[in-house]
Amino acid sequence: MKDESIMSENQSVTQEVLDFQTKVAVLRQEIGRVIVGQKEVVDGVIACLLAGSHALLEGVPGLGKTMLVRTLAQAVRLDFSRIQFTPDLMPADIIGTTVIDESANAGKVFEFRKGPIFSHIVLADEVNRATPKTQSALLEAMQEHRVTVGRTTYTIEEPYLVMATQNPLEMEGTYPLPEAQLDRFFYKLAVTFPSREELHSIVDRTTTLHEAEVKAVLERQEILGMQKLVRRVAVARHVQDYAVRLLQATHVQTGKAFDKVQRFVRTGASPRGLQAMLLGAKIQALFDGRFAPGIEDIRSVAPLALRHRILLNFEGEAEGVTTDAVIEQILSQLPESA
Amino acid sequence: MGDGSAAEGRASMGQVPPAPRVSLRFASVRAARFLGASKALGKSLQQISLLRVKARNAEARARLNRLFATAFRWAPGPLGYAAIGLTYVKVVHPSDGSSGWLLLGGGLLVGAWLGISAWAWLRRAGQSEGGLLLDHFHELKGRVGNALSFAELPLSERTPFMEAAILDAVRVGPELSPSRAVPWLIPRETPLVVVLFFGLLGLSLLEVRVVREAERAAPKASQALVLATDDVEYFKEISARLAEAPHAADVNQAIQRFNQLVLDIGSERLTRDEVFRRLDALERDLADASDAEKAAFEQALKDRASALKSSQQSRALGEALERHDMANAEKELKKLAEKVRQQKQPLNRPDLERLKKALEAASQQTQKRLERIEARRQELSSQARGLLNKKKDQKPLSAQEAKEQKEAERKLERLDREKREATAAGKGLAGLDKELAEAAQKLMKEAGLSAKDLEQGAEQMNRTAQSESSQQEKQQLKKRLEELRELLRQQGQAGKEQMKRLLRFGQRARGGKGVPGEGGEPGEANGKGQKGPITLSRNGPGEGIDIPGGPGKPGSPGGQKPGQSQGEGSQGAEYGTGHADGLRGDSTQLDGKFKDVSVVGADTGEGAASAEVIHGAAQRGFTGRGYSKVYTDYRTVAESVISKDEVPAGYRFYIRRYFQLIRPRE
Repeated sequence: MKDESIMSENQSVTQEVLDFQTKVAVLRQEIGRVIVGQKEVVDGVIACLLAGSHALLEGVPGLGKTMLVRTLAQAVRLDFSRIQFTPDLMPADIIGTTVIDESANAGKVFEFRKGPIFSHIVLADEVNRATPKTQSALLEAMQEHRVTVGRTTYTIEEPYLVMATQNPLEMEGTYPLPEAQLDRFFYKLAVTFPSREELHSIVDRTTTLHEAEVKAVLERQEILGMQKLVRRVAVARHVQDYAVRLLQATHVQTGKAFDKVQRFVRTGASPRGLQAMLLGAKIQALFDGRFAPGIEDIRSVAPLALRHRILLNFEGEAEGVTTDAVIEQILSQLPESA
Repeated sequence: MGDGSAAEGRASMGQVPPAPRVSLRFASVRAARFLGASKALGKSLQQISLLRVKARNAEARARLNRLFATAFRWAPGPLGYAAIGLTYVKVVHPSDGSSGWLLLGGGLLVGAWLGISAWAWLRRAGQSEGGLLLDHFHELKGRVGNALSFAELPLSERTPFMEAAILDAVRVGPELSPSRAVPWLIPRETPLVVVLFFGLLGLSLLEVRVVREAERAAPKASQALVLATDDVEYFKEISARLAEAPHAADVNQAIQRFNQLVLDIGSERLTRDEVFRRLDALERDLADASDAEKAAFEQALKDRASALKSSQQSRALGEALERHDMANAEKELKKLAEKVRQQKQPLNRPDLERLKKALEAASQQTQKRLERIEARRQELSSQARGLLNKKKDQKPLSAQEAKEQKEAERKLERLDREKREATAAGKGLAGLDKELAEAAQKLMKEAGLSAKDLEQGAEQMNRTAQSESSQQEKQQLKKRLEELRELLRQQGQAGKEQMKRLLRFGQRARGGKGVPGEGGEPGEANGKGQKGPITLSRNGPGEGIDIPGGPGKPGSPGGQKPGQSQGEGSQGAEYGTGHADGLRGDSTQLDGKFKDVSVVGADTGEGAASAEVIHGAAQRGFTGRGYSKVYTDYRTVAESVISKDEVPAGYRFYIRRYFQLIRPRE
């Protein structure tokens, strides 16, 4: 009986993993109709969606960041809103505002008009152009998935995904995101310049009459189901231990810090970074059709999950050291088992 | 939907565009095939043990690789040390102490090496090292490691995902290869270790011969014996003084060799060993009659003296022999010959009878003594033989008999020794005995012939005296050799430190700056003085040896503390037994009134005190006739004390040394 029960459960799990893989593959293909290349960014955005968290996309203008988010929203049949962040954008502009509603029957009543933040997928375009005050308006929504206005708290419907973009080159008139807000982003994805072949494809698609039609391939409930499946994936102790040691290695205070950490890091990654690594590794395993993540999965998602959570000191900034370089040294020197 | 993908299903329903073919790899494809194979489940779960075995195998190989890598990395240390140590041992042939330290060092190094290697073997890189190694090699992305980790959990704690992960890994279990995943690695240091090992082996078979004679023949400058210039000068002076007087040929030769040895030491051409070797050779050549034999010779002379004293005519001769005054004895013998020869007043018959008997008795002393010894020897010999026979008959000797036997053996040995000594002494006086015997025989018959024999006896006496004089010179030279040997021995006992001490001692002896508390203090003398006695004292007044002082002079400013006396009076021979009343003295008179009084002694020119002579000589470098006399007085006393064993043996060297250093200089 026991064997049969195990067998039955195993069949069920295997089927769920197969379904998951298939859905992701379909979603990738649908996004691929519009977005050329950028596999890592696309997978990262999908991973953020399945982890129920948010993504920060960084790249120079014109690389298709906004297009990617818009395409994703179309492919998953979810509400989508776009907020173009500007220096004069006010919190109320994104959260919503209370207005006097005058009706014939009820007379004048105050009514809360929800802002663009109340969507499943929110594109915060050029998020670093808004003032910190406005940027901070996103904090509660991103962490708690709810918004409090006055004495009323409004819950945002799941799934909820904020995708912020920022331009690393333009520093004039921008407000770097505060550390607390950066920490809320699951991944920070670097949108790189396309390759030669990819540029050919981009030109072919955008300078002809060809118009890509993106269809919704995933329903909201399916996405919620996939999010639950991700959290059911088991993590072996040694894998989890590796992730923990990796996170500790980003801190100078642990006493085991590596050379670059010792010299250039002011503050290491927060426990949210550890959560992001483990969830990301689980999603990575499911993408591959495996039932549990391995250390390699942790290593592959570590840069995405930690690069925006490590703060460099003045020396690091002055010498142009990137957090990716610090993480790379840690990954190359940290033993896999201890 | 069976094992088909959802994407394919949707594509067939036309809801979504055809999905791309997704590579499902192990989990999806194999696990999908696994569906429905319920029988295989139990079997597969059992196969987790196969995974464990392979993981352990891989881990063991990895640990062995670590062990070899560590052992080879650190092996050049002990091997290199062993090679250097072995070379040192083979070339230098060190003493046991050095070899012990070498072995200890080697043992520590080998111990450290074994410890490091053992640590490398015992250290585990983690619980799932084997699984991770297999995962890496087979690119399984942690499947084996995860499965082994999940399998450690109890069944109740496992989730369906864990079970699925285990089954997924079990599927690939048979394909895992620990030997390929962890191949044996040859450490980088292998060539070096092999070369060192065979080098060491070759070295152990190699024999290095050291020719030590060559080293002795050409000593390094640093090994040459160095004596203080002062010492070299001292021995040169001695050598020159010995060479001044005429000597027998063998003594002259010995003195020349001694002189050459001193010159060689002075020019730092000899090693310490070489000096001792030459000293030994010289002393061997100078070896003469032992003290016991000398005593026997003196006894023989005394025996003859007592025999000769029985006659009035030969009494003076006997007394001269008794005093060991060979020159006088020769004269007396010649006088006796003259008396016997003279015709005007011939000796009367009773005198001649007595003289004859005395001469006969004197000439037969050796024989009589030998007869006495032989008789005693025979007696003891028969006694010892009786005891020995008893022992041979296997009759146990009583304790008393055993004691008697030992006593008899000891006495026999002593008698043998005495016989040898008496024979040797008799040989020295054989000529004299012969002449005395012949003179005695002819005395009553023909006086002229007897007188001639007596004159020949006088010549024999002269030869004996000369021989004895030569022996004395040899003794003198031997004494100097002993001094030199003692000096070298003292110098060698504590190396450079001893040398420094001796130099410091020399400076102080010559009146140089000594340690605080030593040296003289200025004082004042008053009244007419007389040079006091020289006193060498070990235990204070009463036990010293006094040498009467010469005429004194009034005290003069300056002087030294005890050791010199001023004014009249003599020193007591015994310790005092009483003491003054009021040992503690009067209380300090704080309100006393004092007046400084200055007295200057008047120089009457009646002679300087010994202290003045010594002090003055020391300032001028130990020169001056007066100083030579004072020095001789003091030295004589010192030698006398030393010869009577009144000074501990350890201090004699320093006393002699002191007198060497303060000897009068030209």
